[in-house]
Amino acid sequence: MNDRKYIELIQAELDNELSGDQRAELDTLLHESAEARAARKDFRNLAGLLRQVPSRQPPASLRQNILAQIEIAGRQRAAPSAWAIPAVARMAMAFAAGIVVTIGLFRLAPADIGPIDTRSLVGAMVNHQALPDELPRDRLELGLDTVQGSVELHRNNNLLILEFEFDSTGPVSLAVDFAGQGLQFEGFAHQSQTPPGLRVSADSIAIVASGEQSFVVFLAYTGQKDAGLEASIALELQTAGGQTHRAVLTDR
Amino acid sequence: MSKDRDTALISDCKRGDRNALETLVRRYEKPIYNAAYRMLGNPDDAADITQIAFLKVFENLDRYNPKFKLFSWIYRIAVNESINLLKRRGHQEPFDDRHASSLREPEALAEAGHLCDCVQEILMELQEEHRAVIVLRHFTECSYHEIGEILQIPDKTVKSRLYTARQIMKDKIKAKGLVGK
Repeated sequence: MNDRKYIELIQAELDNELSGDQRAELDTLLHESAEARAARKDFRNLAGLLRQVPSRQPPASLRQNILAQIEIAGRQRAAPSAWAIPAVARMAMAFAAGIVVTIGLFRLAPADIGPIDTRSLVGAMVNHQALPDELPRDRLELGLDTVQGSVELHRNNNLLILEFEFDSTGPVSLAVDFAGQGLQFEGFAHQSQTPPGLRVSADSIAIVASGEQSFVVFLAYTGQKDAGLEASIALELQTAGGQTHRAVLTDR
Repeated sequence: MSKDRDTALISDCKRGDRNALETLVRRYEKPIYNAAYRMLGNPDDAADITQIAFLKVFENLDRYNPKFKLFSWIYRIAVNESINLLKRRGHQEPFDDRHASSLREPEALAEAGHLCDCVQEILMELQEEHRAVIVLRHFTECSYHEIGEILQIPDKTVKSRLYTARQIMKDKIKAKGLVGK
């Protein structure tokens, strides 16, 4: 008995790849060999088990996440690459990130709060000598399977600077919540190949990003500079699969 | 899946037709997610990989070769990204069964849940190249030729990997006392 032959034919039968001639050959082998019949039973048992495994339903949010990511990627493809940058932001960028080559930054007046079209981003070269280095007020390490990097909180007078540096293997959603902290959104800058998508409301910012990322969010205290001003900023990071991680950064 | 319909969808997507894009995602979201889940054993990772696969398809629409089936292309990205993720981690993740048996209440579902867990455990014990052929053959019903196209290996290699994978699986199934219908 040629073991290899009947095994090959049983596999082909299982996979609907058996020709007419092979069908006849397999029937003969099965008729002659109890071993072949036993092997066929085992393989059929396996195929039967695998057929019984039901397919899984993807997360309800998956399709919308995919479409949102594709839309962002599409907009970014069409985005222009280099413009001017406001002085306050240049200083803040230098303060936060050392030598920074930005390809995007904008400022937003409080009255303009709403969805932001990333096509309007502006940017320029910034020299890190503009301001001295300073230790961050707070720092968060991102050591997840799919996201590795850090978030640092810096402060310059009334300006808080959240510096994001990370690399993700898939899309991540970030929520920056500063409700009730006496802060307002002041601006955003990035130096990423694939700029993140951004949505701003009065007391929070939603960011969608993937791949290697380096960007900065500027928040400003709405009151006068005061030694007593200290804000806590809640961060929520969510992967496409729905894994959620939360942390708080404090202006100590 | 109709190749002609897919080709037409791709053309529409290239022209910026959002409905075509949505149709394409709706058509392949579930099979791609399921293939990724069987490769990775983790629903969150499967969702990430599904998203990455569609993004890559979109980013490379201009390079799509209509000679090949669209689903082969998407599956190839999803399977490769799954294998890359496993390699980046450098070790096999333990099977994440947090969600696997969430529908266990009625007896039949409990049985199905147990079966799913056992089958997934066995899949995760296979080498990635063996797991990939089992997933593509048994969970996406691809032919030898389609599997070869997706994994870019000859049909003969597909057959030999399938045989090896099945041999390993049937031994493990026997050891666990599972019986098919």
